[in-house]
Amino acid sequence: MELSKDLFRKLEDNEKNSEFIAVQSRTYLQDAWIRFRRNKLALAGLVFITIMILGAIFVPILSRYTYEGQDIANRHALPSAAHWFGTDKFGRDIFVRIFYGARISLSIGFLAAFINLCIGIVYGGISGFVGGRVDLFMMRVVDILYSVPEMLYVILIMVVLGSNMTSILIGICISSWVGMARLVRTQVLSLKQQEFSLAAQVMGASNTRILFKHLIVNSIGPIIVSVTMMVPSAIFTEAFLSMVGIGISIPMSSWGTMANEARELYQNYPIEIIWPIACICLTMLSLNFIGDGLGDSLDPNKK
Amino acid sequence: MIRYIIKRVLIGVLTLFILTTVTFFLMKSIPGNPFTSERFKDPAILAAMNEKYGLDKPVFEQYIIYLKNVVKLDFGEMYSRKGFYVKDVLLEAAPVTIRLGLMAGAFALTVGITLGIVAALSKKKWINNLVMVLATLGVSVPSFLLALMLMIVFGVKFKIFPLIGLKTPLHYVLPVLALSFYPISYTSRLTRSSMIEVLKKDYITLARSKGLSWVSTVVKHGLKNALLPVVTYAGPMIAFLMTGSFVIENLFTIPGIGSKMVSAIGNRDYSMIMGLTIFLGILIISATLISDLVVAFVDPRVKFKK
Repeated sequence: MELSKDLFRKLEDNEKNSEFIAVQSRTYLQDAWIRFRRNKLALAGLVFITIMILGAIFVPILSRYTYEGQDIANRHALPSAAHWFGTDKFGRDIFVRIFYGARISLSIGFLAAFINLCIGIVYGGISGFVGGRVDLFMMRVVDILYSVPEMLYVILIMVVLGSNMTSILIGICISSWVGMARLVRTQVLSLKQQEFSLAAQVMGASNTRILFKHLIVNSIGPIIVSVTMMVPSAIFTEAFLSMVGIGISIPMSSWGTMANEARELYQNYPIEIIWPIACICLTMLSLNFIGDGLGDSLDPNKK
Repeated sequence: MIRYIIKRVLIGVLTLFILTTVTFFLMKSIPGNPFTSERFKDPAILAAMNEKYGLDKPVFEQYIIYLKNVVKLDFGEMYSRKGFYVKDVLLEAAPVTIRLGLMAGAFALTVGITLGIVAALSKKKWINNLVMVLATLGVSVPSFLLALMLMIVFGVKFKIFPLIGLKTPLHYVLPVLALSFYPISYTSRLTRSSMIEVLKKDYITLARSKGLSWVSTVVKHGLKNALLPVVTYAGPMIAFLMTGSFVIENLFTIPGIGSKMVSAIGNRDYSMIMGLTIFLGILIISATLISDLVVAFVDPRVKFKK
């Protein structure tokens, strides 16, 4: 094809910048954050959880009370300047105990979610990526683990290993990575048939690289949402066990044990049971809001 | 179809077998046995007791015996109360829990599905918002806290409902409410989103354009398809209701499986814990199996691959 000179012309000065993109280019996560910020409930949840985390770290260190220090003369005190949330039946400061409980509840929640994330990604990723018989076998194992409720595993482990944080964590982790593995597997199964995966393969990327750098990274949205939802469910399990009196052992405090202790006297001292209930409910609500918010903001189709 | 059923039943049986095995060996791994206490100081008595209960045999032989007994639903004698059998306690406690669970389940499905449909069909924004708020609350407020709050408000403050036991129909109100709140919010969310999804489908427009009334389109074409995910949820819901009963029964002093489990853990009554775990396993696995099979029967689109 002949290209004659008069097909071209010199740009006027004012046209030179016509293809300039004035908007700063944003990464996926920046985009997601901007969308997340618009969701007021999710933002409120994030603020609350941040406060709880900071409180869980600093309140037990900075306060002049300890979680087990008793002040028998000052039992069932109402909230005052000395005891911000009042004291319980042994005269222990509820404010410190709430945040000490936050340490236990939040660390169980986040640790469990993190461990589940690691196991789930590797297991589900391999199962979906390799496929065939391996997939069939691995998914049967998942089916079997899935059909027994988590609570039974936790109780069995606690009976054997005793009532403490480690056994609750192990119990939760035995079964709840299964949901994550299923999610990752479905994602990987559908993503590995898309062109970019083929392209990576053609260019000679190793299987591990394709799986972790391409497939997993592309399914990060649903994975993050599911991790956020795992935190409240682990917190729930701990509170549940402590509530029936088989969780964290005394004198350590978790929100579940505090609710359980205050339950005996709730007719006389209702304020003592309100703190742990409010903490559990608000934390679960916040995490659910954050999860919903993330679900909307991380999905590129929901712009 | 038959292959699918056989496959599912086999997986169910395998799961139960593994659960039994794991439970048995976990319990065996705890040092000591029920007779290593003060009362049996004399080695001769201890040996006699061990022999009577078969605890002197090798662990594997004990395991085989236990498996054989489990098939007959015989879980042995309670460790904490001599002369009482786990099976009898189970037979006494199970109907209570199952009745409570069924009532809560039926209540949850009725209310949840109704709310979901109303929210999906309603043009008014506030109805939609109300259902969504309820659904979010239900997912976030744990059943045991709800039970506590209900007890404080309706039991102590206003004294409308009795709090202890299950003697009259009135006794059922609070436990059923507390137990069903989470499933209600879950089913209403599920029904709402799947109903909205279904109503966008072409076959709904087709049915409408053929002159079918709005009501019968929604009922015959919409609802039938929208409820499939809800049927799938029925299995996990039953599992939730059974484990949820642990704390609800404890709070309301209901003599069901849940409160038996909690007291067995407190007493370190291992034969009871094993029996209850396996029994709950059987209940939940068969419930899931049934709900999956129902979906397979109802929905012709479920493919039966090998």
